[in-house]
This record gives sequence, structure tokens and C-alpha cells, in this order.
Amino acid sequence: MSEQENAQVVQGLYDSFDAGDIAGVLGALSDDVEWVLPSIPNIPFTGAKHGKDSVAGFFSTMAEHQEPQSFELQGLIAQGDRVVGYGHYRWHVKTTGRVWEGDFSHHWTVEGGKITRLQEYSDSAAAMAAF
Amino acid sequence: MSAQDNIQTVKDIYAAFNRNDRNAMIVALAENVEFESSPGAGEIPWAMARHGHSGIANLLDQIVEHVQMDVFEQLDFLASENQVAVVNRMEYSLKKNGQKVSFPKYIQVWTFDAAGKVEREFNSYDPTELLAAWRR
Repeated sequence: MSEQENAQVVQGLYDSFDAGDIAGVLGALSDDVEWVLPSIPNIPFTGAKHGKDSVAGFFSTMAEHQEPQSFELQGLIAQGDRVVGYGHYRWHVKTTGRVWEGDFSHHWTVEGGKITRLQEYSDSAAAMAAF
Repeated sequence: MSAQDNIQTVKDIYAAFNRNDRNAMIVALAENVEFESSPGAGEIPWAMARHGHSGIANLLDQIVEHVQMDVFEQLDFLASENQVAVVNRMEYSLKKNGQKVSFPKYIQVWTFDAAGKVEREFNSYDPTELLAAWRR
């Protein structure tokens, strides 16, 4: 796969998420995907997940606790099998009614047309304060 | 400018930063450059947004005032069109209390204008450890 094709795989995942199509998001992942978010003590869906089924659980648990108010992808940069997506998002926490927001970056690895790894960098202090 | 040219410019900026050569850094930046605010802005003095060469000079002054850099290395560079993303590793000590802060990885994105100058810098990291160290 070319860098352009890898970027399209990641862009497709963001488009699916934006459309609320979690099946589409999961369809972009390899079966043994590594999905790594900052681990935040009081937020149950954070931390590392392994495998597509575990990521499906991540999305369902996250949907119980928070919903996106905005998700602005500002750029996508591909090199070799790595893709970086970055931007700004804002979340409404259902359980507390609070809102938190921050810049994010996602470091993706794409192999054979499927996403095999995600590492997210975001403001866990802001999230923790809202939960 | 090619993607490789932009990667080289970014490498030059890091090299200039590490030897505290602010003139070499600033010459690579557009006059209207924007450094986005960083996580922890509002509490961490150097995390606020900066504009223009004078703003960047002020940022560098604040970093020198507050931080003793122990490790700052670039682990990976990604380039597309007018942007370069860098995966960094950083460790430093806070001068006010000696607390150590470690970022095993964080992402920084540099955006270039048509003349090959940096017009925007974006970075995202988890500030939780930094905020805890700063409050001690």
C-alpha cells in the first residue's frame, strides 16, 4: 500500500466515526489491532485495548459515558506505514453533564490496508476533571 | 519546497534549539508564525499560544527560565506536502522544585508556507504528569 492509500484508510476511519458508523470504524482495523489511549483512573474506557473485539467494547463503553460535541481533524500526514492525524475535540460527559476539550494527535500504523496500531496523545487532566 | 526540504528544516530547528541558538531557530519561522497553545496552558507559563518572532523569543526565554532539559530527541519524522509531524521523546527537570517530567512520546506538527518557512506549530501531549510536578 502507498502512503496515499494508508492515509485514505485512516481518513475513511475518521469519516466513519464522524458519521457515527462504528461498524465502519471497526472495518478499518486488523483483527489484532493495538489501541492505546492514555490510561485515566476514573474513566473506564481508557488505557490499552488489544484486538478488534476489545476496541468494539471501547466504543460501546465510551458511548455510555461521553459523546462528541465536536471533532475537528486538522491534518493527516503519512510516511511509510505510519500516519499522524491531529486536531481538536470536545466531549460531553453524560454521567456528570460536564464538557471537556483539548487538542489530540493520533499515531496510526497501517499494514496491508488495515490499521494495526493506534496511539492517542490527549489531555487526560482535562478529561479526568470532567468525569 | 519538497517534503524532504521541510524535514531538514525541522531537523535544523531542533538542532538550533538544543544548542540554544535562537537566531537559527527564528530564521526558519515566518514572521507571522503561530505556535498553538499547549496542554496545561493557563497554569504552565510556557504553554500559552505565541505569535510572531517576538512571541517565540519570549517562549524560549520562559523555557530557559523554568526548565532544565535532560533529554530531547526526535524518534520519527513524517512529511506530507506542507506538513511535518515529529514523534519526540522529552525529559526535563523543573527549576523551581527539581521535579522530573517525562514524555516518552509526543507529537509535534510543523506547517510550512509557500516560501518554506514555518507558519504554524502544533503539539499535543498528556500534561497530567507535568501539572502534578508543577504543583508540588
